[in-house]
Amino acid sequence: MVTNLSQLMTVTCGGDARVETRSHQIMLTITALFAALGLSCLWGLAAGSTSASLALANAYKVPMVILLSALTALPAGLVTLRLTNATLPAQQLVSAFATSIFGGTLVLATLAPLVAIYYHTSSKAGLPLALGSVFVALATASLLFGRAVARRVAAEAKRRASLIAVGVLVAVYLAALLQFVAMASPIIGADTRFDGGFDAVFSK
Amino acid sequence: MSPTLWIVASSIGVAVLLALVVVYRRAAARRELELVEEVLEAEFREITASRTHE
Repeated sequence: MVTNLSQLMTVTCGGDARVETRSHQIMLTITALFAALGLSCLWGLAAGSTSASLALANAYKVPMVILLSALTALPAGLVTLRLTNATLPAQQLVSAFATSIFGGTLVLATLAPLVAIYYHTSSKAGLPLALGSVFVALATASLLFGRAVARRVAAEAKRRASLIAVGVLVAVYLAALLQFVAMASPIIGADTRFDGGFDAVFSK
Repeated sequence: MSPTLWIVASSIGVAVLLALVVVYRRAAARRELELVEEVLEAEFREITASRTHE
């Protein structure tokens, strides 16, 4: 497990870990997903630290929101991969997606203590910092995903097709995330536009 | 938002997590076999090489 995590960090950082077989790749992908859920659980505890019940609920809700958004987006990415006749194997796309989610949640967990401290000590910066940490994590995960796929198809002729699949997957993931966050609200102990989902975010 | 939808969605999430645990355990077992095969192969090659040398 420790070896898996160390290899996972190498892959996430863009290094060249020795992933020889299919079973090894499956193990790494699932480890990435479970580690990501664990890390997002930490952020959930921090963001809900205003009350014990919210913190405990967040420990379940935040990982579930991330998992369900990923599950919703994955078929769209795989279908795009097929329709564009991309050379990237589906398993590689799933693996890159899982490691990028891990990278994003690693950022969330890193910022979790800061979110918790500011949430309790600053009425001005607490909420923007909590929301900001989510946007930073999303941007990081998207960049890591793009980089991982770009590296895997660097030598291929149909690079653009694989990158289109990445774009579709990220777009569908964000769209699903918006609604799952609304479904799971309240996650942060204050009212935000994201509690109302798409309608509230894009209302005039 | 509908709480029923959230309950249904999160139970699907839990089911997927359980399925992933099963897939991980199978992959881990397969990986172990692959590693054992690699070790046996390396040993066999070593023995064959030493016999040829003798």
